[in-house]
Amino acid sequence: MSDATIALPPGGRTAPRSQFVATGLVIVAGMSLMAGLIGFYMSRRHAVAAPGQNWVPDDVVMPNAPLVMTVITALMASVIGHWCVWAAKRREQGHTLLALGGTILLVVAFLNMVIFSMNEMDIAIGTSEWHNLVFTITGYVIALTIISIVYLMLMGLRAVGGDLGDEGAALINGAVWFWDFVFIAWCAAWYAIYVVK
Amino acid sequence: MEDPSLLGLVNTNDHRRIGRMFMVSALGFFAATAVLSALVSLDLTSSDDFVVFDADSWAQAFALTRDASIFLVLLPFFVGLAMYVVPAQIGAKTLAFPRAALASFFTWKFASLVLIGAYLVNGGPYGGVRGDAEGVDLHLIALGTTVAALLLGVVVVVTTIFSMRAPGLNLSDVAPFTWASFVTGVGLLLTLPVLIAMTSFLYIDHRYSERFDADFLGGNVGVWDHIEWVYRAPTLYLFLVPVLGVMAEILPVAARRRVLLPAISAMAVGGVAMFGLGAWTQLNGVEGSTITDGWQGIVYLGMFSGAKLAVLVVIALHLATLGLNRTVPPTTAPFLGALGAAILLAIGVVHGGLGAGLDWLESVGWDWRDTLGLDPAAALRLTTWNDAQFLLTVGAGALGIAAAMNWWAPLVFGRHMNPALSRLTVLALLGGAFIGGLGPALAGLLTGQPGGPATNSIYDFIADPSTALNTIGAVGVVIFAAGVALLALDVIVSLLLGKGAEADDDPWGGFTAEWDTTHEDLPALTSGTPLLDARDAEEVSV
Repeated sequence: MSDATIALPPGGRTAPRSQFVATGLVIVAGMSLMAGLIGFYMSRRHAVAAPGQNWVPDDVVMPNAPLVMTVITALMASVIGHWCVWAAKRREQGHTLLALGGTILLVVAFLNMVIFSMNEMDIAIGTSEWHNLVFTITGYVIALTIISIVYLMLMGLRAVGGDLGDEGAALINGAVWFWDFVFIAWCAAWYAIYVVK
Repeated sequence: MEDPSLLGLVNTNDHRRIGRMFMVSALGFFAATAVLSALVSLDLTSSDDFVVFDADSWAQAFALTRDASIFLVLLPFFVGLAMYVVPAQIGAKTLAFPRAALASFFTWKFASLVLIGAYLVNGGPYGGVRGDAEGVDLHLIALGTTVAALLLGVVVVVTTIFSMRAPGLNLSDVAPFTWASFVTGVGLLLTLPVLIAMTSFLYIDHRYSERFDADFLGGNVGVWDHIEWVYRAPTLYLFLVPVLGVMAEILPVAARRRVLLPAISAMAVGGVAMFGLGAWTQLNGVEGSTITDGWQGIVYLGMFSGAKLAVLVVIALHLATLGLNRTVPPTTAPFLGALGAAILLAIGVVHGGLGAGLDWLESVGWDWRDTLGLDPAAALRLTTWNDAQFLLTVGAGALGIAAAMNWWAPLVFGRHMNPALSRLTVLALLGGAFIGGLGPALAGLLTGQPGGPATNSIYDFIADPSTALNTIGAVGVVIFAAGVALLALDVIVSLLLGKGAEADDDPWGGFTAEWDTTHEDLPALTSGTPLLDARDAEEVSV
């Protein structure tokens, strides 16, 4: 059998996949949502506390180590997610599934750590404005994380079914991009609430 | 063939049917909102007490007219219209995610009914009493869900425009309504999530802080303070961008000329959406701050002025196109509606600019009220001057709806609306909105009558409210409501009961792709611009 490759004319530019575009638009809306939440938190802090003053209630003790670990875990999930896309593009099903499983596992670990941190801080809704704002912002991050897990799992099912290559990778890429957005949103929330306070 | 059963209704993936459901439902809410607006206006015509409502329920009814005008009428109507028309204008057979579009419709419809129900159980801004304020919480959940449902529809429409255009049809060449839908969609995705964020904070604060006898964000009164930026310029203009798209479809076809400087016109439409991202200027709307405070003031003034300027550019280019015509355009209802929307929007823009200018002059030290011999009063943006701005702008939206219904009824329902009734509708909407805005504008300017729900204290704190001017405003709103009733009657009789004249293909001679109703043999889409693909374009200026 000849090794000669068959020269095919280059294909025309294909329209971007609707799912990928829709994910991008949802991410835009999500960024606007998170910017609104964090922006309002900062504006209330500015209105209530003098510059440089800590407006966190005295009885709140922040578990800094687990909170830092949430950021690192989220970053690891993001990196492994992109490995998954890389593997899916090359139709390497084993690597794709392994990476996707690792991503989901780390996202679940992230979720667990965020909830653990909330429990450690003993957030009681209604007791102060700070509690209310932090509960709302963190609640949204948790909701977005759960959506991200479901999205990644659905794309995992497609990968199990053999939906790989450029098109399959584009779908997984959408789910990974969504997780990237959650990661960035959490970084912003973490910095505003737990670092700057 | 549509399945007329209930199962067929809840299971459809036909973008035309979903679009129609959105439009008809929005028109139903439109009629109810117009009646409520008339009652709210009539309530201020007495010199000593409210006529229909009491102080609290008046404020709630006022807030409901705002919620409903935008989220139950204007936005859903144009989302529905886009779901119907946009795929046809870009050469796509359907929407990107028809099931998501259907979910968007049913979620919006359900949440809208819950929103109205929340007001009926003493909810909404200014509703409820401490310890018994579930209605306020319900309103916040319903408002957030309504907005989220509409955003889902917006994602579907924008995705369709972005990824399902016919090969060769660039985004820069799509039809004006499609372009307007696209830029509005992007603007809404950047703006309305902030409202969802705000309603979430307010819900948590109102529902849970009450137990500790503390409402950090101001309780039921604070609800309005934190969401009213949606109903103010520049955000208000974002909701009107689809009306500019409707105008840009109709006026050039009426003039039989392509619009003057089409690229500038398209950029200006995009500019309105860009400057309409008013979520980020909301802190300047609060009482006590001046409109030129620091960087926020500069951002606010820039966005406020940019949105207004862009609206004026679009209107000016289309009116100039009409002016260049050699003959008077036929006075069809869509043409009159689009022209009326342009005129009313221009008046609203000038009105808003004048108010902002006077407020600015006051903030830099010139007491214009004293110069004119008027009594001292609050800044104009805190008076009924601002209510007039809302009425004029939403009035332009209503005219846009009337124009769009008349223009696309042959496509959507296969029939024309009644020409005489439609012209009367346009006249009532235009005259009603203008007079309805005139009364509160003069009341704000001459007497400083407080605007917004704050007016619920009018009979406690103002010895002599502007009864005559309030009556002028009320008469206008009643005329406007009559116009909405005529529109609803026309839709029911001519379109839903099928009494209107049967329509031909492309009855207006617009030569855009949506008029090829077969969808089987779409024309070569070199452009979506009206008249560009005209086959008998002798009159068309290139």
